[in-house]
Amino acid sequence: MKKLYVTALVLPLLSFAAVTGAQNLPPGDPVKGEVVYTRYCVSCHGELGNGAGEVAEWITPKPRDYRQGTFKWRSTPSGSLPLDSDLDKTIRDGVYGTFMPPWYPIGEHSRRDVIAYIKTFSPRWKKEKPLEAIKIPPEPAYTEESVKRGRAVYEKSNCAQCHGQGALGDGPSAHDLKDDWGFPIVPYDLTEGHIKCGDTGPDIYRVFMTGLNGTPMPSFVDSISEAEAWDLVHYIQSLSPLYPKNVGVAAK
Amino acid sequence: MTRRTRVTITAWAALVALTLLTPAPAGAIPAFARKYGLRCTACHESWPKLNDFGRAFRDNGYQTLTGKDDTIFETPGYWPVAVRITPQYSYTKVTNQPTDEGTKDVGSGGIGQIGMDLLMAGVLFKNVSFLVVPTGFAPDGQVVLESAWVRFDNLFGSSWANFKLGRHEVDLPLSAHRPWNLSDTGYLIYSFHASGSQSTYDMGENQWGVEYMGHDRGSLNRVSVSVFNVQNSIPSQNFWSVPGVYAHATHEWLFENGVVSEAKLGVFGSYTTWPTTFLTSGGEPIAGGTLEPSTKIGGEGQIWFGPRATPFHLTLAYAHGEDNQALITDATRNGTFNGGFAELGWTFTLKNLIFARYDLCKNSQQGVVDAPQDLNNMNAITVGWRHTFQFSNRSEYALHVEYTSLQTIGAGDNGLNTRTNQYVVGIDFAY
Repeated sequence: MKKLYVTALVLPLLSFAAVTGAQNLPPGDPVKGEVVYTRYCVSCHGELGNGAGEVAEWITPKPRDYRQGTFKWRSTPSGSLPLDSDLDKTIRDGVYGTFMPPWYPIGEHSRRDVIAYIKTFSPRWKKEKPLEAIKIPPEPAYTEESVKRGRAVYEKSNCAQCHGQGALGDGPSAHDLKDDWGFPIVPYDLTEGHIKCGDTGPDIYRVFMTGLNGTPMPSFVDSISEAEAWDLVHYIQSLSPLYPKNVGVAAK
Repeated sequence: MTRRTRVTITAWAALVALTLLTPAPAGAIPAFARKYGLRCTACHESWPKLNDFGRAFRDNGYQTLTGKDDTIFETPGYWPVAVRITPQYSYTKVTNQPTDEGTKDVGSGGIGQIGMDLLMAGVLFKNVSFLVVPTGFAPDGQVVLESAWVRFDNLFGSSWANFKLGRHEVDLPLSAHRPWNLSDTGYLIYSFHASGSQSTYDMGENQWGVEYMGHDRGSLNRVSVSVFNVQNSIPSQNFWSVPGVYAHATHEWLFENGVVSEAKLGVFGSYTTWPTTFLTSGGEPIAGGTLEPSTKIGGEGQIWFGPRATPFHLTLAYAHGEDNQALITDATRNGTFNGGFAELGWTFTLKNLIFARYDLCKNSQQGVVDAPQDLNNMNAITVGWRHTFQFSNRSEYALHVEYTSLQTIGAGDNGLNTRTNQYVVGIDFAY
């Protein structure tokens, strides 16, 4: 019986360690990463990492061109390279509303290897290092008042110019926008109920405060406070019941 | 160029020429590659066998769940149809066959019937997926509906609530419809029964029924239960004609040590019935009466070595089975058996796979007391190589070379053993 208890305790721990023990892995191997890239990525991102894979012509939004070292979804300040963990999150979870699927099943080792390979496409990775991740303060409770304040921030920051008064992505500038590669880019419909990079409060917070490199979406870190940023998060979350909301005790 | 060289070239050209045979088992579905812009390698370890991403995609109801799955997002030109044909030269020789000239080895090779698989799969609406696979289309006019099901996925917002209705493959350790081999030697344990059993239930054959399936993110934990009417039996007069149930559960570990990338353990089992008494009309059975059981219970272990993009994949599966004595003519006791297989597959480059499998099924207790202990025991060895010439997000084609040798004890003339050797060389197309 004692052996059974020990086994019942040890086995789950081993399982947990097997999956999570990856936190302290060494950097990935770009040689192995090239095989991973060829298996999973090349049809969209192209053999040269230029986002011109065999299907790129027919899909919108276009696959990422890795040659400039410009990445949208980061935890680092605007203009900075992303951290490896940012790239891993994008690969692992996919990008909602695009043809980038969640590659969680391929495992962290393969993802690290392919990240190492992706970095070989841009000389920027040799010349500079990513800045530190921004600090995200604890999320306050989602309340009606924070939603109202958030609407005010939305208006003050002129979000409607692109995202529209109703946040449907139909603002006056919506049809004139282009990304850094010259492709038309449409402001996101924030009522969708899913954000491309993740639906949690911190995911949405990061978008305002780091901006989306390579797109017209700027960082608002210098124009809104952290409290205002959380209010804006709550306003966006109020636009659809699908967004998870941090309804704490204070909200009652 | 010498005459010998010309003959050699001509012979090889003939072998890889478009000689057509009965349809290949269903497997890779290029329609998915077209829909999502991915190459076949994204979902298939070495096609047609699925890798982890492909399994998760399939378990999610053929969806990536990133908002691009619903058919309304597709261009009107997209059509969820894929085709697989496997033109091949095949030579088969069977030993110890009864002939008027005595016991002879009989061999034959060459052209078979034209046939193909039509694979139609995808989503009807968000979280409603389907698969329809008519197969056949040979000159004999036979078309069989190999698969025809609808699945309600992620019910109540949970990946643990998925229900499939229709003709489907039960959730096997290794799919009988996505094997690496193209020869006639499948996974023997799936169809094996105790010597003399009337039941022809084959775990590898698709069944009409209902499947519950649940999984977690990445399909590291999976459970499946199928309840069905056993195919090919005379219908019985019961509420559920000839019932059968199959269940399978697995857990997978991921490792990051660079040597073993993942490992999986699973258990599976089936309980099926078969009628042994019948109402007759004009001497022909028209409705079954008494149903008698056959069972199989077993386990699997799978391990992947090396990089997951080019894995060395080992699978071991074992099952113990039992057929009720009433299913076996002249039996005075139940017939029992043990069996399984060991399969290796090494995708040493994305375009090259070598594989080998050993199958073994042995009767541990004959239903008929006086029968030889090893009567109808079977063992087989299968080896092969696939070289993919080209793959894209539209299509894929590969050269396939294979040899298999199957021995069946006491199945030949005068109780001699038979050995079936088959050589296959062909091109496997999926588009």
